[in-house]
Amino acid sequence: MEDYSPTDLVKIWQQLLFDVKKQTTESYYTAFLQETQLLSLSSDLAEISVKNAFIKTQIVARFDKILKSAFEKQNFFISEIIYNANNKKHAPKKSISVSQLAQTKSTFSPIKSPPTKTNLNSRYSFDNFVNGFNTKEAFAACQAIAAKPGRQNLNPFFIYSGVGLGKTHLIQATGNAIIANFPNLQVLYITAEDFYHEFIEAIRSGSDFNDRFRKCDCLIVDDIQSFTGKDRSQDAFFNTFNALYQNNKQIILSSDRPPGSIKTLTDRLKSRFSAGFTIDIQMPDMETRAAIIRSKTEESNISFSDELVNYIAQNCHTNIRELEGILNNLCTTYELCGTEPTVELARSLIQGTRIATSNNQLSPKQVIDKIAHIFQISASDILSTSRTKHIAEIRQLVMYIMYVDLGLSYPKIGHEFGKDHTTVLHSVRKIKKSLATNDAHIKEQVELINRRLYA
Amino acid sequence: MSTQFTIKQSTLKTILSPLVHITGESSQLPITKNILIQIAADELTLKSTNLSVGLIQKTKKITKFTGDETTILVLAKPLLELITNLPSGEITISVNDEQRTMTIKTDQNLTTLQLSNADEFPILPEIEEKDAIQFSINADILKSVVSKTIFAHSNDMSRPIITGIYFNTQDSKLYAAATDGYRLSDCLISDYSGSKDLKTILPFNFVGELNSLLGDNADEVNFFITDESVKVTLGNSVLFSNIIDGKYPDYRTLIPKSPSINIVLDKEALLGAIRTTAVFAKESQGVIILKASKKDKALIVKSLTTTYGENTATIPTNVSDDCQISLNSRYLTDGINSLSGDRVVLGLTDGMRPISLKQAVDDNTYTHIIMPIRGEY
Repeated sequence: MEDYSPTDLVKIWQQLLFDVKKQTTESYYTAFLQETQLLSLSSDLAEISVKNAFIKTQIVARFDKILKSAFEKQNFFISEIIYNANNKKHAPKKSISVSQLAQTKSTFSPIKSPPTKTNLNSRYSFDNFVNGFNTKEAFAACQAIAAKPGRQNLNPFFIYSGVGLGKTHLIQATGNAIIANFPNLQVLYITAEDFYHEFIEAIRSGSDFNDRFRKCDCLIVDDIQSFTGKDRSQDAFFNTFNALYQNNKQIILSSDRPPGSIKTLTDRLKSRFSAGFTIDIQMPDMETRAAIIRSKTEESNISFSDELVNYIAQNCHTNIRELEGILNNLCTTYELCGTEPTVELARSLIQGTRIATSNNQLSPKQVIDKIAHIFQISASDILSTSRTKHIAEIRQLVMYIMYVDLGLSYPKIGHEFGKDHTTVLHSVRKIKKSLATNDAHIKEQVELINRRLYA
Repeated sequence: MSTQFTIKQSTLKTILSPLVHITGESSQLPITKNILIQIAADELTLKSTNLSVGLIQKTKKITKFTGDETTILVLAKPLLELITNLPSGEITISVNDEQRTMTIKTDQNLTTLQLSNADEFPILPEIEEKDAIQFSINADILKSVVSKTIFAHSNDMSRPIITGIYFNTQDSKLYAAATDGYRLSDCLISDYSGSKDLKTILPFNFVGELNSLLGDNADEVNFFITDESVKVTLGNSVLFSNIIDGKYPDYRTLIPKSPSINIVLDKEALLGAIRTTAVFAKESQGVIILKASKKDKALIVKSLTTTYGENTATIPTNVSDDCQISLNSRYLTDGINSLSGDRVVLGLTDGMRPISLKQAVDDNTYTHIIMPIRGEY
């Protein structure tokens, strides 16, 4: 007697049905055979699960012989087929417990449902957040929210920063702290992307979408910038936002740029997001990075020499995730091979990631496409001769980035745009000058591009 | 080759209408839009199914049979519409097997219907009666049980288990229960002396069809239940159905054992108070407040304040203690209407526990409970 794995059974059954399908009509096939499953197969017995007793009767009467001969064709000489209606394997249905029964989905909730899924990761807490100079304000604000969610001057709370600087950690830690402080409050963490998907799903299934979000006492939405271009989800979010805001429920939002710079966000959302407290997190300074490394290594019980800590802190300066990656690598190498973490090892790792990123260096075309995407305009606009202030400025920024980041020569950049090298020279100088004179607008744009170009 | 018989218009109409109800109008299998008619010398057998429920109707009230016994398959809806519109009196039906047509003749009317291949009709499940759990219920009792339970079932197909009516046994008694998660009906059917305990979830559409068959049919309804399906025979009808697979929630724990406050009221008085108050409950999804006041010796039915007004109705009655509860007015009305008799006993514990509705304080045959609405009202 042979044993077949579930995948084998599925394959055998698919082949067999393919064969049977040719011998019957389409409507018979869909009505009776489509939702069947081969449960087991032995030398003389096949067990098939069917949807219900009605279907079973039809299959026994009409398809038993056809199925048997189809088995034979595939060299399974079985003497009997057992048909199993209402089989658990067919459609796994869980029984409902009393507490679930009492749970509600509609507005007239009989019993407030027990704390539902918060989506929060308990790993993130205030305790394991390394608070540096760059995060001092944001950290204090989050703690204030955790101590008293919904306070007027901190609601909505909008936090923005580049990738890997701890937004998610901070807002999740806030959520966790609120739950710890006020077990009765319902906290819900969701990324804007998931919000969008749930919204789509709700439209599809016709279920009540608003309920879940409007019930919570603290709503945390991560990566709000991905609402870009999704108008109906924005509408839905707008309504949820208003409902919560009016009831003094805490709302925490995060993004990779300030609300005003999220281009396709409708104005009414922008103005609402900016109504509360907006704060950004900068890249941590050297000391903070060193502190982060210490705290991470303490978590994994490996001691790093001061020299090593300083080396990593000095050389990983773009984002914290890269730093974490290097640390994880060092720790794993130590655990697996027993190799002591040394400066040399760290150097080779850092160089490794550098080479990896430089291999990913963008082509001039990609830079144009990506920047066009960041500013929600088309690449042809950038390459056009349009002298609109907005387009012209972006064009200059692209030239600047090509010159500084890609290291291209003025004539080469000029060639990309079909322009003279002096035009490029002028553009690059203009941006440099703006940066040197601390033009806040240009500075913000350059930062945004740098953040998003390699994200 | 032809077959011919006569039948009364009224007899045929009565047999056909429940059958047409069960045909698979939206089924994946178009053949189920037909009715199968087996014509024998002394008996007519008609079958229809939608692949979840199947019905067989028989009648011996045919006369003047000539020709061979045969089986035909005919589209259900046109047949019923036609028969309904024919004048009462004798109808002569003849079948031409070769041409696959059926002719229906009255004094003024001649109709020819196309027939389909009878072999293609789905076969209805057989239940070996000896393998099944068997019990009988008096038709009147069943009717009352259905009316007390079926309104409370859930329509949420994502939780199929509570869309059904739960037939179950407890301490040698048979009960039917239904819930949608916010309200629950638990109704005693009868004593139960079956060999095996019963825990079967019957689909609500099956129970609905069964209920409509109960009209003027036989006194006894016989149930045959297996793990997979259920068969019911009553009079000249046999009804089959799949059953819902799964474990029904242990609902008895939800029913308050002994509510601390029992308020006996006149059903109409309470319904009237709820109706007037519910006018103002539209803005609040039907929420109204029941307030038992010991001092006022009354039950006060209140609405929430809305933009256009509010309402308070007072029903004088003896109340042993103070209590306040928020409820959905429609659920409350449904629940009260399901009670037999002209009294209603409200059982209250506190504002956070379900309210129970009974026909009398010491009546244990039927309990309906409704979850309160939580919130600051």
